[in-house]
Amino acid sequence: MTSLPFVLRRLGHSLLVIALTYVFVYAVLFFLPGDPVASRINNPQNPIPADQAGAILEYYNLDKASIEQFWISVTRLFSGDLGYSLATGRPVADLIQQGLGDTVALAAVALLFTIVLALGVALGAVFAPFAPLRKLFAVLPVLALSTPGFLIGLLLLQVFAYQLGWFSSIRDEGVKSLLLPAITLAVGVNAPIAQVLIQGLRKAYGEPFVTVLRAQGVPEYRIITGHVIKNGSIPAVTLLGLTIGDLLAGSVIAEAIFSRAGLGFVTEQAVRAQDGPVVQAIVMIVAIVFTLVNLVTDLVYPLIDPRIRTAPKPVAVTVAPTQKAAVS
Amino acid sequence: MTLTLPATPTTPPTTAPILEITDLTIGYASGRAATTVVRDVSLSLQAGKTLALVGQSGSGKSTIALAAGGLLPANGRIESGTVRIDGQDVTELSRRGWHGLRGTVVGFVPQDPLSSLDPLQRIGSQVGAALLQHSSATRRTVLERTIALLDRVGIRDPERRVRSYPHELSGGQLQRVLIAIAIAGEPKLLIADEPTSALDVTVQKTILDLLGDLQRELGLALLFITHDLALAGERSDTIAVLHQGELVESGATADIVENPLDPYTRQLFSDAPALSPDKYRDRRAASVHPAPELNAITVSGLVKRFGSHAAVDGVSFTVAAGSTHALVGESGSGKTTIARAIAGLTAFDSGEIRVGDRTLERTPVHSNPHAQQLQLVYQNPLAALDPRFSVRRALEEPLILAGQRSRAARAERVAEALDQVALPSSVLDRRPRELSGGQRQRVAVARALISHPGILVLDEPTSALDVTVQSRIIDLLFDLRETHNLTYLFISHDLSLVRQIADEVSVLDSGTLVESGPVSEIFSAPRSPYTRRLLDSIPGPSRVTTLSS
Repeated sequence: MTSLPFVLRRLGHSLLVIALTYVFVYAVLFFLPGDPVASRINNPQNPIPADQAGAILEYYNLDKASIEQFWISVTRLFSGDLGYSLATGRPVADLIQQGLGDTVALAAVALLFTIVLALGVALGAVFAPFAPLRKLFAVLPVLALSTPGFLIGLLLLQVFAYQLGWFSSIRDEGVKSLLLPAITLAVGVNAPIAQVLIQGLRKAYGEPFVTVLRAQGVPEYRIITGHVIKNGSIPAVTLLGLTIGDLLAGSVIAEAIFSRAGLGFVTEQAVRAQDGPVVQAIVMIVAIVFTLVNLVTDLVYPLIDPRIRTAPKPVAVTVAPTQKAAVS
Repeated sequence: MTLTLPATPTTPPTTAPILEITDLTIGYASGRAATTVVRDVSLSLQAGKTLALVGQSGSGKSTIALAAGGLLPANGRIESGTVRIDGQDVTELSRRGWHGLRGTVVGFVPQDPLSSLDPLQRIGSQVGAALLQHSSATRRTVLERTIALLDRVGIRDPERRVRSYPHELSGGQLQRVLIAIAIAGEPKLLIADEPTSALDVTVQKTILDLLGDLQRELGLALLFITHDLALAGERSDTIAVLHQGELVESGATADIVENPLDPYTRQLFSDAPALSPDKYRDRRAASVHPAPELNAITVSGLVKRFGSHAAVDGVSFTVAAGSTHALVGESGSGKTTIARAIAGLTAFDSGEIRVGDRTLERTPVHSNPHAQQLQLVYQNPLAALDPRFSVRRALEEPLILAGQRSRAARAERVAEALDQVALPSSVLDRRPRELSGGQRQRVAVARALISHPGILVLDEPTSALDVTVQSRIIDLLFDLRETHNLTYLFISHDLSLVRQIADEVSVLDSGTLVESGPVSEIFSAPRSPYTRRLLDSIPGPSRVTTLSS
């Protein structure tokens, strides 16, 4: 029973984090030198005369004081307006919308692969019948950690697209063309999860309750599927939450390698053009996803682990954990 | 009363044994090498009887228990000998072969109830699973049967408890649930591996009483593994004493208790505080320094709250200089909190603490303000010593903190302290992990002594140690008290140990002081019912008095 005050407080925290991120990102972009409008005005081949330049600056609100510019961007934000791209002049919302769907699809499939891959490797590393086989599985995450994601992507392209010809490296083939980039992403981010899972499963498998279940005559596979996996994967849940952010960030590289449209592509263009409003919007999306996932993880935890759910007394929630430990 | 129990056999002795172990040798493989941990052990246990397997850590008693339940870890192997359960040879039984036996013929009660249930599942579903697997219970009747079974093992309010998670129950209640699971399939043999060593004494008594009741009612054979000889003497029909994997003595409990033949068994008897309460009588009297006008520690009206819960609620007592004052109580009674407050390691809410002629600050401080005068020795030396520090460095650190710059002077003081706790200088370059439990606790005592304090606060200093090792540490503490005129505040849950070594005792119950006074008075005529209950829970006190008189 996650209490309502707890949910509201966590929601408040999340909103605060998002607001602070907005201010911070705005400030960083503001203080970075140069912007596409300035370079268009000061283009050495075709400089724009001062009177026309004034109109352009006014259009983008660049003539106003910095604090006023910030205020305009905030008020616009609340009416659902993300402003206009400085490089292309198009509404930022349009640009984002164009890429977001593709990237979310990619990240979702990659997340699915990550879970399957991490769980498979961890199960192999802990429960495979022979010790050498277990060791082999346990080494895999280390291998994946020390291999850069783009290398795996290029390797997959080389084998499956160029050699075997199963996939096109350029053409959009719908769901099918999601597979290779999703695998690339998943291999890159699943290693830490697999390692935490391996540790968690090993620890859970050594708990006294496993001996009790065995003594009770519960078959080994039922002990593993019914008890060990649940207990052992609790620590990995937090990590999985953090990984969703990594998947979004990693999609930039995957999209570049596999020539996919998406948020990664939009980001790359915007950063290259120093397109402030677009970069700002993308950073904000990533920040919002991060905080949301964190929020969801925190709220989901009590559902998985009853020990977190039932605090003995309402006051105990506010007592620092160190103090509680001292009582016992 | 306990002596009469084995004298009334309920089943004729001619029945075939439920458990019969013959010349059993078990080894553990580590890499290519194998270590033999049990050698040529033969035992036999009849229906309705209790066999106590007694020994210290590493004696092989748990390994035998695991082998008897087919629960040896993957690297454990029966090298020779046979194990027969209810007439069936189970020595070479495969995992599948054990299936027909587990739960229905052999039940298992584990050592640590707190981690022996799946923390993510409700009590009811875990007990229910055992019932569904081994009894005639069906999905429709399982809830009813679960409630009845929980009621049978003494769980209060079982209708509500089936919905509880393990963390919502106390250790004693959890052990009852585990017993319920163990008897769900109506086994003939129950293996209980130190079933109460993680529990308070009063709880220990109720759990063992429950096991005894069930045994009589169901005709169970009980293989009772314990390190506590007093407990074994009180609760078994036959005793088998193990030492380093070998059986040193076995026979009827009454015979062994009255006339132990093997020197090792005799040693165990003399080291067990419950069985030799007068061991230190002379030394205790000799080292009391008559200085009643001087109080080493004065605690008055001490209150310490955690949130709205008062862990210590208005406790007052005094510790006379040169005496050993014991602070006893069950877990959660506030003993450790008081020790930490006296050492200046935790803030307190009201009251006053005086150490010598100093009054302690009430506000939180993170270092011991009177380190030169008072030192704390913790229960678990492995946790209290930095694992990366060598013994030398651990002992030098207080001197460096006290500003001793001269390397030679430090080395001299370290050598002296090591000598005081009777450790050879060869341990100086070892790390805590490379020492035995007893050696580690000696290092912890040496570290406490290095700044020449007059008072030691000892927080369960021997509860993690075997009785023989405990006995050596207690000897050491007496030596040190005589030579250095020390005052001890000795925190313990072991009343038989307190009776053996302390001059004065303060009894705590959930944060309040129940009574306080000389050990001889309180133990012979307790005024509070709580103290009486604690004293009644000490295994075998009645027997001991009849034996020693």
